[in-house]
Amino acid sequence: MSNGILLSIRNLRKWFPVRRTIWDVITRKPRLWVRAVDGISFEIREKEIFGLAGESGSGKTTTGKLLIRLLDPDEGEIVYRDKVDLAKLTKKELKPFRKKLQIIYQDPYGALNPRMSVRELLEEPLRFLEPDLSPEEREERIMRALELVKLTPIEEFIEKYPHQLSGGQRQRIVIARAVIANPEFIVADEPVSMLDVSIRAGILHLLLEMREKLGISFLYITHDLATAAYLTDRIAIMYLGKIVEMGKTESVLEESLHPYTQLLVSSIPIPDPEEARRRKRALLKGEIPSPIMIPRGCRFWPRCPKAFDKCRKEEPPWIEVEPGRFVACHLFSSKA
Amino acid sequence: MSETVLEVKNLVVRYFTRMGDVKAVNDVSFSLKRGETLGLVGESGCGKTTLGLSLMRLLPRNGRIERGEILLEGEDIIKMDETLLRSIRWKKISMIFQGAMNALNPVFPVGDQVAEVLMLHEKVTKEEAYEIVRELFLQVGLDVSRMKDYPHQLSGGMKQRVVIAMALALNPTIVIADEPTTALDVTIQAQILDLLNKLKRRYGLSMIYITHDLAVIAEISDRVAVMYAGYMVEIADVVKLFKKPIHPYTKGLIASVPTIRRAKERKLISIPGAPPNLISPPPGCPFAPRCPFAKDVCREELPEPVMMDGHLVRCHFADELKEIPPLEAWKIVWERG
Repeated sequence: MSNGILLSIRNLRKWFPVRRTIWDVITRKPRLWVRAVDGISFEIREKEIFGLAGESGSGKTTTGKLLIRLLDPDEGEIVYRDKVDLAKLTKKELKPFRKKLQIIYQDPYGALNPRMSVRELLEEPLRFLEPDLSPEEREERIMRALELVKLTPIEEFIEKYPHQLSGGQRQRIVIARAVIANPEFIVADEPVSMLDVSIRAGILHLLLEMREKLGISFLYITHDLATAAYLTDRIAIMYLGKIVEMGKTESVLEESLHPYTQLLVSSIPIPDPEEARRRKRALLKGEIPSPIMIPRGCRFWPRCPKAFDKCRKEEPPWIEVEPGRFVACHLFSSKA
Repeated sequence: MSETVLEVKNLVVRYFTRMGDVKAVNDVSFSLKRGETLGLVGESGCGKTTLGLSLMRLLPRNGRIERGEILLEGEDIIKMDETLLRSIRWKKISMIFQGAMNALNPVFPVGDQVAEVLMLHEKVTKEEAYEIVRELFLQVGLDVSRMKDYPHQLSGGMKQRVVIAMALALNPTIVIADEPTTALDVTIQAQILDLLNKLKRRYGLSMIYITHDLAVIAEISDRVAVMYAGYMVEIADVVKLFKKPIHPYTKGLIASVPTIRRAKERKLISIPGAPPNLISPPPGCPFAPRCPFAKDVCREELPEPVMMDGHLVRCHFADELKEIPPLEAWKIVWERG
């Protein structure tokens, strides 16, 4: 029986080696690592839109790629429906799961082959993922996918090439390609950040509809907390390869616990000039350190306004402050 | 505060391409006062960068100012020859170019690059130039020791600060900032916006801030000009514009931006369709093909700008539409169920 959890991620880790020069080898300098994802755990429930937010270099895109095994994790588990650990499967064993796990990238201009028509673009994933379909069945699936992403009337779009479509229409094709083989889970990596503001809401709603109509779960990766607030059910905030806070989206963004989340939220410009002038905003000092030189103790302490002695020495534990609400910060240690 | 430092009248800019003439800036008029920040907002391809480049007279080779006047403290920049232009460019009006932080020369220390701007334009000795650079670095929040660093040793935020220091080096009256924070993280964006606001107050700078991000506009502008398809469709005080937008496009833009607080209760709209091709734009109002209120007259006749409750609006039905709240203007309203 299913417990409503689609993917359970435990202690996932991915480090990338830093290239050594010949001189480094001769002088026996130790190998350095980019600790892109450094031990994170969370769950994605069925039909859930789970947000993963953070600044560039926080490891959110690497996490997305790990979940669908576009990258191989060094350590940790990705348990699918309480049955299979995707992290342990060989490439061959993974094949039946490829169909179930899809990804949408940020750039609708780069994601589509400019020499393929809309029909060919949609046929391609079907040929790989469902090679047994008859030509008629394939055609029907293409029609249905175009209807789903609202590129209608279909005849108007099906023979077009990417350059004849607007950015929003292209992103709809990208989404149609992702859903055409009936996946269960889609990693959406900044799907609206390259689109004009006036059409973003349409794409966000398309994702919501895919969840409703097709029961797809999403990992929504973004640096834009406002779209995440609108779209996601739960959210995790990443900083330098670790999740610092996690819980229901409203709770994390409106009653933030971790000092980093609080500063991140206060950095976001408010589209209301009066409110923007009223509020006193706290600025986050400095910049995100290199993931090669991760600070000892809590990785946020050098920039944290509330850091105390313990933060410099000990890595904070992962604390469940209330059911489903997690934070990694020594300020909450006593409550554990 | 009331002194006008820049006045643009009926500016028309075209690009000449093999596919035809691109009508990038159409009949644009506005003014900028001393110490004022004008937010220039619009989506990709609306002509906002072209407008900025025209004010600097730095259009690419295939671009040309066809008509209009750009009066900088009363003198028309368009009529100036190259020698005269060089005496005002950077000194009176300077620009933070889009992506400029990635255009710093990789083989020279950043301090040298800022000093070079000074030595090229002002009669200063090397020592004097470096003294000014030190002062500028302090002003933009960079450690003076960073002057010796090469661009690759700096983060994106620091490079953007160097570029801002360069734009301020010759103490200009007007700074045009073209998407200066677009490639930066929100926390760094907040730092840069804060810096620009401080510099503006300290030096009484006038600024034209170009961006596609309405939230940034709300934070930094005193007045806002909304561009669409090369036209300025609405200009108003920032509070008025957000409170009571008149042009249907402005209403649409404002209603399409999500907020972080009570996000799911907010209704959002998206504007169907895409902006017109600027080589062969439709006759009449450029927004008519996407406008929920468009009538025959909109498709036939270009509306002239009219003054309405303190907004300058280019819409045939400004008077009828001014009371309609942004969300009610749209048929497709998204509600998160």
